[in-house]
Amino acid sequence: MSGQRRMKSGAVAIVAATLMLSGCAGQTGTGAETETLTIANPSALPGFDPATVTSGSLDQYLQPVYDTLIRRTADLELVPMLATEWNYDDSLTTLTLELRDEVSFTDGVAFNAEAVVENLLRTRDANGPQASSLASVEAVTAVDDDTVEIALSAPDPGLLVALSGTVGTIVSPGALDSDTLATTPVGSGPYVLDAANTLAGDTYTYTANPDYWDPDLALYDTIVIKTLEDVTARMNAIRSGQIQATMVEIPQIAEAESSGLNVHTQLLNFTGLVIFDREGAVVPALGDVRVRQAVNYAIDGEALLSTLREGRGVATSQLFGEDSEAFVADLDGAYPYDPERAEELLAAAGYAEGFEVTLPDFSVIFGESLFAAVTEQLQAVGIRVTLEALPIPDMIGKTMSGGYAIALNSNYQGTAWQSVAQYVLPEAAFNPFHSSDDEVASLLEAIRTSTDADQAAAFQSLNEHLVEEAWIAPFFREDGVYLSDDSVTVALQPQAQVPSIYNFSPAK
Amino acid sequence: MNAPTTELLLTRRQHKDSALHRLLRNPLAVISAVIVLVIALLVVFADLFTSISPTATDLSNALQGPSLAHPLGTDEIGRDIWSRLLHGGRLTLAGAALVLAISLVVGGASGLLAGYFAGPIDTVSSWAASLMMALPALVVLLALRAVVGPSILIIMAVFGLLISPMIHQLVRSTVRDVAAEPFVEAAKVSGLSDARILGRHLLRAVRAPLIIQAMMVAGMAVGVQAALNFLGLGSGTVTWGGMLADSFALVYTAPQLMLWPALFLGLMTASLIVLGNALRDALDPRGAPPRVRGRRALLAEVHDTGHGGSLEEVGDEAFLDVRNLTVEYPDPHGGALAVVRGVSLSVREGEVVGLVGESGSGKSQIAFSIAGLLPEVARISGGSIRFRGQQLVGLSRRQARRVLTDGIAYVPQDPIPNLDPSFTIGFQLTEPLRVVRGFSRAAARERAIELLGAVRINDPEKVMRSYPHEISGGMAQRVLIAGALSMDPVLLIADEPTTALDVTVQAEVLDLLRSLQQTRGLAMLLVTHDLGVAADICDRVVVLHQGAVVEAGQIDEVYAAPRAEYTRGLLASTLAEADPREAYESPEGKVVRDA
Amino acid sequence: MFVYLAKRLGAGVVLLVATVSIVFVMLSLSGANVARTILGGNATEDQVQAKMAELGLDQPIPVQFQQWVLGALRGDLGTSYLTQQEVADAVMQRAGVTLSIVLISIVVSGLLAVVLGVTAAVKRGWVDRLLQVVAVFGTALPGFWVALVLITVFAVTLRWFPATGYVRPDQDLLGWASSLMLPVAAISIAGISGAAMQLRSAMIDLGHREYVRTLRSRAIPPRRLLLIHLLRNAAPAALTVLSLQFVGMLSGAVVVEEIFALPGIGRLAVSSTASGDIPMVMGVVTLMVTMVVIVNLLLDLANAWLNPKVKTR
Repeated sequence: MSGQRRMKSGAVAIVAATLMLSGCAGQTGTGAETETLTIANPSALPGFDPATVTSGSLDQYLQPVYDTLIRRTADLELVPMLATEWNYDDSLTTLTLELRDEVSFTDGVAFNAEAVVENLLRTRDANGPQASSLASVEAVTAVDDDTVEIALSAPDPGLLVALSGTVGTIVSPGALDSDTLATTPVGSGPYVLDAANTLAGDTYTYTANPDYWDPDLALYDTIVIKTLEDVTARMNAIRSGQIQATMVEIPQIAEAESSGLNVHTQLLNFTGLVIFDREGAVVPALGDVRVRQAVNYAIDGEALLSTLREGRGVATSQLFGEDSEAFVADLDGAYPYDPERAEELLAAAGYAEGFEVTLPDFSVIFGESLFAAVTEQLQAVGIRVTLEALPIPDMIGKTMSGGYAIALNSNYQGTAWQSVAQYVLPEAAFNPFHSSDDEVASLLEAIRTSTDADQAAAFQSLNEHLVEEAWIAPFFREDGVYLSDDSVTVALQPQAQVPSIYNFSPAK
Repeated sequence: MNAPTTELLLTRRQHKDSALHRLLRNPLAVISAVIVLVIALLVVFADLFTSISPTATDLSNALQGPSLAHPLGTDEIGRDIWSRLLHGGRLTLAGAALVLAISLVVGGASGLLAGYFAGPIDTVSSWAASLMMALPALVVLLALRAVVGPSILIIMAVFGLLISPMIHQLVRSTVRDVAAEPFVEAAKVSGLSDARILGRHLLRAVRAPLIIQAMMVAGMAVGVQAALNFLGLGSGTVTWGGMLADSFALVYTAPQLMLWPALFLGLMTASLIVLGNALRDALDPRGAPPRVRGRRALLAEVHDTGHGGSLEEVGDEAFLDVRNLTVEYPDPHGGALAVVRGVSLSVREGEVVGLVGESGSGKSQIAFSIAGLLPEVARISGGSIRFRGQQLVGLSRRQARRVLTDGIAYVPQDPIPNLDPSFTIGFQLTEPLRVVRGFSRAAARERAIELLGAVRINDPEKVMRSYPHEISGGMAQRVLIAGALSMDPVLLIADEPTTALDVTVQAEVLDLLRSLQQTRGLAMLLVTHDLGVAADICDRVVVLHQGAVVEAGQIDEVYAAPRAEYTRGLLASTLAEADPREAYESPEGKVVRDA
Repeated sequence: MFVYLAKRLGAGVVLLVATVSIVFVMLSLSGANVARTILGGNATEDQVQAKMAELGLDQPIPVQFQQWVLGALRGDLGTSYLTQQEVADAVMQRAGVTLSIVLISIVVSGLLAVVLGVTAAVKRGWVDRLLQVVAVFGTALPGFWVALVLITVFAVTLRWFPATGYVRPDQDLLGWASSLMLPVAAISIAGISGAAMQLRSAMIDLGHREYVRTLRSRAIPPRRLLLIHLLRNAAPAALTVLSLQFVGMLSGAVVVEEIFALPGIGRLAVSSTASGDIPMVMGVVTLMVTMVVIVNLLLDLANAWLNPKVKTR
């Protein structure tokens, strides 16, 4: 039997070794140093070439290494960064940028007007996700070393905000056309990428750039950004002290609060049905405004919000967010839940027996229960819904090319113009039938050619018109949720899912 | 014959009560069968057990506890959990059934053909099987899902194909084993068509391991479905895996949502596996673990009941003395089945005694009892065995081993299976010398070579280096005899030592045994079904029938004038085939041919 | 012996080619919309078409496959559609993670399976029944569920091990071991019980062999019978079980890497399959099948070494 005893003691040794390891892990895991910021981002970065970067939350990866021309603060103010001053001409078709002196990229190349020209033109001409943001740019010219002129084919109300994001990211001209740009960024940002401690798609480590021009923006020695696409993984990581801050979702709030984490929320996402087929090309019924209004009345936004989002949000009938210029408070209640009214409208439009419509089944993305509930509510007033499930990219493609009359969509709410560019412009991605009318066209023209209060008034008129015409059947605006532990102070960035890297500072 | 025969006999008797009966007596099996059945019925006839649609939402009644309207409460949008469980089971179980059906049909058919016909069919199908086994299944399913979209049934069908090599290999190897058995050969010779051979014999042999494997496959299918759901690749239709995966999003706010799908999923899978094991045991009781009767029960009680019922007169000089020996095997009812019933016999020093009987007469069990080699399930329930005055019945295993080293050695029937295929002959011959008798490596080697010489092997060095598969049956039997001699025995128990050998080799081995017996003055108990063999070599015979002694006496007396009817029959059948043997015998009765 | 191994190697190569072809065709039938994924939701259809042409996706599948094969033969597995990384680099960077998990899991579950399987076979009784119960539950519980429970207990509550992520052994050996502890446990729990059950039945089966009885008649002590003769004869069966487990664990690693956010090739497989990044998926599949082929070859070698019938051929 001594042989068996030997095996047992071997097993004991393994267990003992494990416990020793665990002790060590416990010690190293919890002692977060204040000069290091470790956060998790929910999206994977395709690479450090800004022209290939798709969504806003990925800017977090770029901000440490690249400066943008303009910076947008947590108060939504546009403040100088690489550009110190910017002015439109009277026709709003020429933008002149004055550039900061004495900034160098980390490869030693000096930042100048030529670098801006190269970057902007490259982004416009590369067939990438950012190209559409510069579609109105006709020419970019270096007036002198510190001055750039951007000539537009038509006024572009979104350009300045775009220049404060991915589009305005300036890469060192020396690195722009190198094969390694995707993995080896060279910019003028407050940090440099520590390639040895970086694994693409998993962990990105940045160390402070000692020569950075604005010490106020470089508060950490090291920043680590982990890519954690799964919300449970992010939650586990922050609860176990592996990261200091991350984005989660509404169902995690209770858990976060009970674990002593700081929960930050702001109204962010808009969820609703986008009625694409306003001419009735695929589903004739939808050509009738009464039918589209009936869709609005049929959905109980309040109930969806309270059951699926713990009531953390506002039921609404408008596309635009509260901090956008187009917001009209009264429009939130434009279409209260009223299934009888919906049936009346359907009957009045000649669809007393209802009609059939096919929706793309994005339940993998937006949640199976949301789809089930919405389908039920539409069915209750006679709108018979078929859910079509295809591979996700195929469904997106089919949606964008007019394959569906209605689609459920959930999206963060940016500036008023960003919403317009996504949903309203005839060439907008979420306007696949290119619908427009005289009112829309003239309001868009007014928005383009005006500024400030006039522009805001035009936005609001457009908002009212879209609600009246029921282009969209919004359900609710809901909270975006961001968590942090006590070692870090963070200010949320309005209209963005994750805060800018500049919004973090060590807790005192 | 041998132990397997006896076990076969046992099995055959047990088959009198059906597999179903045995299954019903196993409480675990009954419980798991009931669970599987109840869940299956609930799922198939879901509409009878709930009138609520699994997709009907009621936002004002979200996350409610159990109530009359909703026996298990409602989920996050007010859908009835009970209804979702029942309807969700449909796709889950249909998917599992599909995986099972496809893997059984594809893997089973290809395995059967490959195992039975061998040749190119085997080569091709085994290659295809290894191809599919090498595919990382989950990655293939991921890619597949991108092609076909979220159709659970198509994905499950492909998974069934991917997993079919598990069935293929099992069926193939079992069939190959069975196809090598004599009865299949016999069936072929007797002109049965291939299909009937396959159908009747092979399927029967393969069904027991197949059932276990099938239940595992069904369990895996349910698990893979859940994993796909977890990776966000489920279907829009409700399934248990989908419910479970979805519940993780709300695990903190509504942990109860996880409970029911996890319970149904776990219960169903666990029950399937338990049922599979039980079913296997019921169909093939030999593979089942023995009923535990407590350690003490295995140590036989000693009933030294004296000479009563003995047919044999034994003198004091007998140094092996077996009295009223009874050996029992457990039967499935918890009772016992006696395979040796009150047998008495004795062997004197230097005497050769034949223990004669046909297959299943219990003669091998007597041999095992004396050598302490009975299987653990068997038990000596009565009688005594005295070897040189020492009582062997009731000895612990350790004590019994000491008796073995004191002079009882055993020569088995079928030589090749009695050699460990993984070690050289040299290792196996020297091992007992070194381990048991404390020889040095070199001394053991020398002794082993000497023993091989003693059993008339010409090139001992070469044989020492050989593995069992490299030597002939006759050679192997000599090696085993050498192994027995290495114990320096005074009593040799030879269990049908020649039956498995060719006729010519039989004579040589018998001759070897006889000369060893004579030169070393060994006592020998020769177990055989062949009265002719007994006549060749024995001084006395004991004839056994159905576990009891029917006749005993001097060999020439029994041979010349058998008293029992049974002995006469045995003798007649021996004489009918005995002619060739006569050719090898000189008038003195000695074998003249030599190795 | 050499002929035998050469044959097995040849079979492995054919296997690799066949697998890779099947997966390529399947992916090509599905991956048409990777351009949409690259360009995001705001891009126009024209942009998408242009991107597809840019990636060569407008070519017929046989042409695409030919190009891939020609590249692969030169050791060039191409560039990721999405991240512009060299596929070979990306895959090799991540292979270490998956191999760490799978190999450690194989060793851990192999050792424990031998100990448990042999104990159950020898002792029977309650040990045996306990093992059967554990085996049933190990099989019945979904792997991801086990992983999440482990995280909740050992990472979130006790904070013994990290909940997510991987530490390279050259950076911090203890950190590496600690980061692998829970993933290995999650994978092994499912593997141990099944392997132990198979070993158990192999041992019981071997225990009934005739040579065991003969060895017993030579007074060989039971422990020696078990440790030398039975284990030695059970070794081929055990190795086969382990090689099957290796393939199973590669699949298991996909789920576990996803849950623990480990940068292994399994997670890479999931994300690149979802986005239609064909070169990346092909890289992962090529590596996985190569690993399986190598493991099977090692198994053949081991079996040849263990099995006298092959060794002496």
